[in-house]
Amino acid sequence: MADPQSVKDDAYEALKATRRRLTSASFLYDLKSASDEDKQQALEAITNASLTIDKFRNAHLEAIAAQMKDNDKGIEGATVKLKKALDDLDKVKPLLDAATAFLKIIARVVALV
Amino acid sequence: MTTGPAVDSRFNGAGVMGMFGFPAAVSRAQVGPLAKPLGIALLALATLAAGGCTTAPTSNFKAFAQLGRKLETAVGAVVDQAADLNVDADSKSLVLGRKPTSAARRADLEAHDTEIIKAEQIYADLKKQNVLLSDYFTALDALASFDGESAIGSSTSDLVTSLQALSPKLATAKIGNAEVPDVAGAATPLIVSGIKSRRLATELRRNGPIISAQLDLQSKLLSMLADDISSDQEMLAQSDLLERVYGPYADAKELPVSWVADRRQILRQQATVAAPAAEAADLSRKLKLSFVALSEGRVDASELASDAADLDRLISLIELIAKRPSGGK
Repeated sequence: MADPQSVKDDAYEALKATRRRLTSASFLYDLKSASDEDKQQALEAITNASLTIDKFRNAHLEAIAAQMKDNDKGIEGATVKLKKALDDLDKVKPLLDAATAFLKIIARVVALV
Repeated sequence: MTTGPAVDSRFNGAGVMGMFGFPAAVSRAQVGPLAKPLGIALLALATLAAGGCTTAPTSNFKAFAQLGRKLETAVGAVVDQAADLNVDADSKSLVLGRKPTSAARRADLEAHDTEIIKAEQIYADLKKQNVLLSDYFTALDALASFDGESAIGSSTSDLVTSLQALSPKLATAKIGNAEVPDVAGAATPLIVSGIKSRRLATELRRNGPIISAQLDLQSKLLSMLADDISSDQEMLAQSDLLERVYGPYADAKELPVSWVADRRQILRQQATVAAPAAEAADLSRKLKLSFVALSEGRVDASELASDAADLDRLISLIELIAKRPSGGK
């Protein structure tokens, strides 16, 4: 038995193929000379197929967006850690400069003693 | 790096000095008031030197991070393209299938609007994910591009010179065969670069699974978007073909002067419009493989360069499609 996801995928592909046929230039050209009833049915089928495609597409994209969202916190945390690593490197020079300045003061004091 | 606040808490004059070949007898008591600054300088050097053991080139991290940033720019543009075409194809279906009565038209419009608004929210969510990944690559690029090595080298040299003036023992101290003042200034850029590589490698290993999973999902998303873009574009192109190519060719007494150009533009556009999404999906897969290789320290710089060239081509393609009179629609 086919799994629900592959049935959904197949249905989505079939819908897109139907819309493709119904909206092809040659089909629409031929439709001009069709009976009013046939014309009306075909045009309704186009909007219905499109609406159903919208629904399938939203469901697909929503599922993938939800999976991506599950990783949000992890990615944000990873970014924070990279920024922290850069901050740490940025702190080295001021730390060394502060120590140098302190030593210069000590040197002056020592010279006075 | 642990040379920030950790320096004070880990300070231990004799132990650190021992790492640089100082006699253990040179203790905090002997250096007196110089103990703390001396300890800072030496511990900074010791920490830097420990980082220097890792020699992975940071240029690979930088190239990879910049690839990631470029890809996320392209992904954002592809999501926008998919969102635009989604609305346009839906609108075209409403135009083609316009019902005879006002009530039926309004009902159709409301039903389609509901789905389109929902789709717009999903595309916005997907772009948020795209921004998060872009932020990650920006932070990675910033760390890989850190260029303060020479400034740190110069500060270390100044510190050691100041220490020399106060401590004759340090003036003659050695790390291996080299004197401390020489080693401190000249070696620090190299050593800091080593720390950078090590931190980058550590972060990649730590975050590898989650970034890798997100790149997989992004690749899957881009493949879906490529299909959607192709399908929507085909529908729009067929409608254009009917109005500007089929109709005039079959029915008009004389063809419009633009007929040849119109036909070329519609057919060629149909063939290329989904290319950026498909290429972005492919590059996203490649970026994931590079990410895994980078986190395992076996990335190939030439592959990164090749991916960068592909990405530049992709971005040019997206720009070209966006500049077309119909904006890729």
